[in-house]
Amino acid sequence: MELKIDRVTKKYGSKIACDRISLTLEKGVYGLLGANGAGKTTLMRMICGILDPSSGNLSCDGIDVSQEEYRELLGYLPQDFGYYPEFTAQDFMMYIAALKGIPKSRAKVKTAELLEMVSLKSEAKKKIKTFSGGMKQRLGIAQALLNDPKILVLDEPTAGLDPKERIKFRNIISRMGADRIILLSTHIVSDVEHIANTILIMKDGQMIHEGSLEEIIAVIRDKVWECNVSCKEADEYGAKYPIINTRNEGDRCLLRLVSDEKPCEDAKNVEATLEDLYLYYFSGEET
Amino acid sequence: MKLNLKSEIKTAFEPPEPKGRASFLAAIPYPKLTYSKFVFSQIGYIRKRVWFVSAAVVFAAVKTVCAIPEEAKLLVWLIAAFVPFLAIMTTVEISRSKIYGMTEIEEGCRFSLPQVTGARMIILGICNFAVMITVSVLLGNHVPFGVARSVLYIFTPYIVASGISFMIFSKVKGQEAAYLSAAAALVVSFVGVMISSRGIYEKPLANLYIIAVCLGGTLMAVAQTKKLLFGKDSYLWN
Repeated sequence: MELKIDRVTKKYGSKIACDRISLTLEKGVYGLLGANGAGKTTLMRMICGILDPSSGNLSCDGIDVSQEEYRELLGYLPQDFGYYPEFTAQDFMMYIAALKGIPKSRAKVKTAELLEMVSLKSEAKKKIKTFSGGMKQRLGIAQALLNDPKILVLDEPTAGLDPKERIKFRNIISRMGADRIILLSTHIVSDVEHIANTILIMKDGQMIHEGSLEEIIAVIRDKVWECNVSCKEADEYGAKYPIINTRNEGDRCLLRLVSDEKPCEDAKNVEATLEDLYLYYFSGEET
Repeated sequence: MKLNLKSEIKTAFEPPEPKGRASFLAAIPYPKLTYSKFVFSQIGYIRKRVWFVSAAVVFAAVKTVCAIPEEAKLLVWLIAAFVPFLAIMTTVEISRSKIYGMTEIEEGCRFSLPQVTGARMIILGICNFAVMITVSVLLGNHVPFGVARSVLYIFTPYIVASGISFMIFSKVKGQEAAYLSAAAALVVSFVGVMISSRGIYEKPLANLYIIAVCLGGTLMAVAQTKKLLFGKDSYLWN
């Protein structure tokens, strides 16, 4: 199975949300990183066929993403989603199952199975309006899996989940990635770091990096430093280098920064992480 | 003896975990819903109040014809004043995905949003048409202006209110569209009441004007329906 994104551009008036993006996705988990407004959601909507590109093509094994045949393979969790106020969790799942063309008898079995998987079995008969944000998110994840999708697109799936739920979700996604294409976007870098086989980084509508964790981090390998400086000096360093983190230690500051050369005498070279790279690219931008 | 051995073995050893069960089950082709079955499945998701109001309109017409047939004309005007609200109730039901933020999830499904909207339109369209035609025929036989004009007087405000409401839903998002549609229904209803109470419909050429308004409303409703079923790209960049 191969999802092909061929020179896809999306314009909103004069603004370019996605700029000539070309990708080929095969089985595995893809983590999409980028600041707000980078074009992640627009790209995901185009992949799901709910937004037409201004130019370019998206297809899976030759099936255009606008086809019903393609949507049959698709599971999608949007960033924000509502629900009908009278719906219980079970009603919601059964309704989405009908939209996915799943017969009632099979839908009942899948609903019970998935609600158990996302720990909502005991809440199945409760109205969604009584649910917390995390519970709604888990229900959203469950609905995306109803048709056992071969292509799973998750826009910020871990938003609102507590750490325990996040880890459980990560394990589920990791397992599922073995035989399907999973594309997930998140601001939680550690989620991507743990489960994504391939990391995609978007900035200003363009795909600036694509590769495994090691390949991606190679960009700033040996360039991440920790310096213990006075708080006055910290401001000067801030103006000179991209600061990833600042920690106050009494009257001193421990800076984590990116620099091609050793920034000061006692600077310690530290191992680069994906979070370093993310902050390096997106510090100063709204995330 | 042999049978005993078999059962003994069963109790003595744990059966091995089935291998590849999930992939085996996934590979079994299960029957899929056809669009007609899907439309049928959507009947259950139409809110009860819609059925209740439709039934109440028919009940009022039947009751009037049986008990006080001389008041049939008054009921034609009352129903003509009421149908804009029935139209709004219908458009709200058809557009509820937009009101409750379900559009994106529904668009990603096999039967996507336009197909869901189409299903609701088919169900409610047939229901409302049946209600209004039944009422028009029932009452039309007891009024001086007959069945054809009863159909015209009852259908016109319904069609005009539907067209306006669909237009509002294509331009305004969420609950506000429902409120604006209700206000539009009130205006259409009020205009209808003025026409009937002042006997304007009896004036020469009045029916031609009403036919023209009905045709205009139909064109508007068709154009908005087309937009609703085939329109895309309503998502804004964040």
